[in-house]
Amino acid sequence: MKMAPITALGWEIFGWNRSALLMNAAIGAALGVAVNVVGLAGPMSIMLLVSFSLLLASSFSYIDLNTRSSRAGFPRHILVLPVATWMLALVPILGGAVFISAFVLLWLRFLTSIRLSFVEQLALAGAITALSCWMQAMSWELIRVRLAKLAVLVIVSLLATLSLVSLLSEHALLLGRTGGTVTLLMTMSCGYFFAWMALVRSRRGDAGEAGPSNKRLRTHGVLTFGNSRMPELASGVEAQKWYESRVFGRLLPICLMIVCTLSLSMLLFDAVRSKPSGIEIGLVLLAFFMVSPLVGSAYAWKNPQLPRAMLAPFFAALPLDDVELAFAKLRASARSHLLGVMIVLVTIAAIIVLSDNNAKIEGIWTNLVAHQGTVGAYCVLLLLALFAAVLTWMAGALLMAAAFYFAAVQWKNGALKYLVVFLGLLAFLKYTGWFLLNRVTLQLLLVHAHTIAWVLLAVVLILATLSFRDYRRSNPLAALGKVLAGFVAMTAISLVLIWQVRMSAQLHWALSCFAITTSLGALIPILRLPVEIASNRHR
Amino acid sequence: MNLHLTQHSGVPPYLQIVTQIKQLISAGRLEADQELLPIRVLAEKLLVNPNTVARAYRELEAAGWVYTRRGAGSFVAPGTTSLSAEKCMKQIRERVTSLLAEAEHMNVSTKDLIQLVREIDNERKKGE
Amino acid sequence: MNQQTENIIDIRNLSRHFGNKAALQDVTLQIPRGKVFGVVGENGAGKTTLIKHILGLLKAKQGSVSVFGMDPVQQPRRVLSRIGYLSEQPDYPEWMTVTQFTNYMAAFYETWDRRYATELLEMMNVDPSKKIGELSKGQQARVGLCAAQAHRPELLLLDEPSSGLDPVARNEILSAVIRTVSNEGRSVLLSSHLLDEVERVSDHLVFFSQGSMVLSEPMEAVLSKHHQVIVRFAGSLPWQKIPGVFKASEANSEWQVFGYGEMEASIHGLRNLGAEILEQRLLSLNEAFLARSQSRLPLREAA
Repeated sequence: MKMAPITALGWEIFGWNRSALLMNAAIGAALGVAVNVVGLAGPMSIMLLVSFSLLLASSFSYIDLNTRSSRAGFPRHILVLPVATWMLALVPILGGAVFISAFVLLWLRFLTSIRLSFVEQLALAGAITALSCWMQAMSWELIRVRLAKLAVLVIVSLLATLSLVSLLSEHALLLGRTGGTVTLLMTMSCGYFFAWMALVRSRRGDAGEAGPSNKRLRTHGVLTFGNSRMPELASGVEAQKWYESRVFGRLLPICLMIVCTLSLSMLLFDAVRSKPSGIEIGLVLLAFFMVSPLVGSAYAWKNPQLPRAMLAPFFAALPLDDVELAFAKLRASARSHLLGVMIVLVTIAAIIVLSDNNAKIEGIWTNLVAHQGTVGAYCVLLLLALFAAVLTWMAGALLMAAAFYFAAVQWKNGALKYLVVFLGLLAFLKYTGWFLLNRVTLQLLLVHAHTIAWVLLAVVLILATLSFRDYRRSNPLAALGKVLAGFVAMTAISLVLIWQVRMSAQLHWALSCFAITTSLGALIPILRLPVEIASNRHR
Repeated sequence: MNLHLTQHSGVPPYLQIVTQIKQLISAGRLEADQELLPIRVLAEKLLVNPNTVARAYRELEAAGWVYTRRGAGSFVAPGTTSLSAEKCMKQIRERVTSLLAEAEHMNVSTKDLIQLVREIDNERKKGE
Repeated sequence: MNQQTENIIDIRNLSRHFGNKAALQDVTLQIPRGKVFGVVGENGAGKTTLIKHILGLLKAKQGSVSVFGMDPVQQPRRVLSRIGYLSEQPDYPEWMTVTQFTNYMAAFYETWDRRYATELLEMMNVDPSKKIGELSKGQQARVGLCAAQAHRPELLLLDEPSSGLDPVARNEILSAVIRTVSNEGRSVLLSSHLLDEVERVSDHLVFFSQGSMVLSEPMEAVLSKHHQVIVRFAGSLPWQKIPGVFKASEANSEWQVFGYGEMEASIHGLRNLGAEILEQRLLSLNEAFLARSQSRLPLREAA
């Protein structure tokens, strides 16, 4: 008698997202194969695995972290099924845990060279189950504050990872085998208990009244974020810029703040401080380079956590020209990007200052000053910062335009977009990495810098002209006024900086060429975005 | 000016307005030279298209119940209240005519109808 | 460009397909100033597609759409700033408070009247400090209605605004319609399933069925031309022969005959066929809609 409801329930819960689930898993596997073929196995593969598992996990739990409704949880009709509450709580947890563990273990077995013993595999499965329990628990309305949910998940992830590592290795710093097992089991049971409790509450109809609600926290000023303060909005463009900043503008700074705080806190440990500070700086930079383009594309999303790049009907019907809408997004993204860059720079400076062992960095700096003079050295730094900032922003803006383009093409599955983006990024990283880290190719690059620069310029010029032509089909020239002025200014600054640095004349010209190329390149997404938004808005 | 509209009575809204205003005037609830509600206001009150109200006012004006002054609105025509007795009789006559037609339609004879009128009248007198 | 006499909306020969389905078929419609146009039709008949074309959310692939003399796709800002739009399933940003939302919207419209907006919100009992996500559906609709009216638009565009709303909210929507059209030169396009409401407030009725505009007449004409005659006739009544009659059904030798046009003409035609007239009456909009929806014949008007 009990079999039927369980089967029905299981089918309901997994059938809900069945196709998306299988597709995500398939894409994940395909990615893994691709990564191995391209030859990036090892850390890349692991990173891919983790991020894909998270994607899978999110399609299992009904976590609804989006701005639209903080009312997550099972749909009503599941609550009224004639199934005991403990079973209702258990099925999604187990299902999720089993599916993801299987996925992860298979991946590790076939796509990497890592071989785990049975106990280790069990430990991994355990950690995943613990996470699964808590993801389910958080998807109920027990705690209504989204930030708190996120915090809980972060803590649980840390605990699970800690226990896992304790079980997998014999490191003295950690909990040891027994400690690890106990923590894992406790995390699991607590998670299940919370999920069960939340479910009981939902079934009783108490959900929605539990816990600190947004309102109370707001009065404590924790979540205020300047909620009550709203600037005078003089025009529609200003209003839209305000909106975009409010909704998406905080993503990058917050992400970076988290990473930077992590890096800085690592310096609290003497052991870490005495080692060269390359890792912390590297972490910050890596985070910046990876996250900022992705966040740049966020403006295309209807809301930050729900990537569906369609212009919500509400915004499509606002009295804004396509250009104005596009530029509002780009301006907001530029502002948040600038903030991000400043956070990164300040953190790196702080890390250098606070770290005890800067021998390597100081060595590089002394070399640079010897080669270029102090002014030249600073110019090099500024140039690097400028290029990094512009290129990452450009990547983000291009992704935004691409997101709108793909939405118009109607690729329904988010994982598919993920696939395209990630593969592109991978290939790019692999081949640039190969390029730049290889002594021989670096020499080759410098020798032919001139030619390469001209070729790049030509290509970008062609692309920019094409984009300009598309832009002019239905958009006014006047709107570009400020944009062009800005880019002329930026090109001028970078040219000045380039010519302050001591290097061969040929290299000067090559770099100048490159600077112009970068500026032109940054124009491309600016010209393309109104066109893509238009194609998305007027179907 | 308290009017109400019934949706499915088979009588078009403008006609309902005309009839009710006539009744109000006849009953003395609207006095001579009293201003009628502006078209916009009445339309909003009754939740009907202003053109419906405009049409009703036009018909009332054409029939002499109401007059308009440019820029000032519509007013009850004097003389309608003093003629109210005649107008009332006219209305009653119209009602009786349609009642008789209906009775004939349903095969109720005029004799039975008059009997019915007397019966109901007696009941009403008893009730007082 | 004579602002007073031209049509607000001028749609000519508009057709649109989604895949195999024809959402709109050769629609021609002009909406002048100062009128309330009621648009009715079954679900999927093309009403929302038409409205999306007016807003510029759909490009006119076949035919032309002109709003205020401009193409809404080419000039979204100039067109949309003169339109107040309330959609069927509005998705306002849930994190904004009502005050923030009105301030946000105010920035887009030059003609926004802040005092009027506050007045409207007070009248509709909306607490301006609440977040939109915390409001009930009816309250959200009220906020939307306020935002659609506060800039006194030349065109109020309502797409099934009353769906799922309580009677008080529905009344407020009707008030908004009347208030808009009472002001010189402003028009309303109301697409709704609630035919009683459409009947009350519309000057002109447009009836869509399966993408085609089946009827476009002044409301008075619609109400005076749809009629029903009940006759007695033994056997099969050849009602198709009578011009204007579009539907007939039989029960116990009594036929319900539906016609469009002069009632007297239909009665005359029925008498000629030898039917005995039992009853005759005009139809309400609701009844006319139902009768038309259930008939499959193209409609010719009785002379």
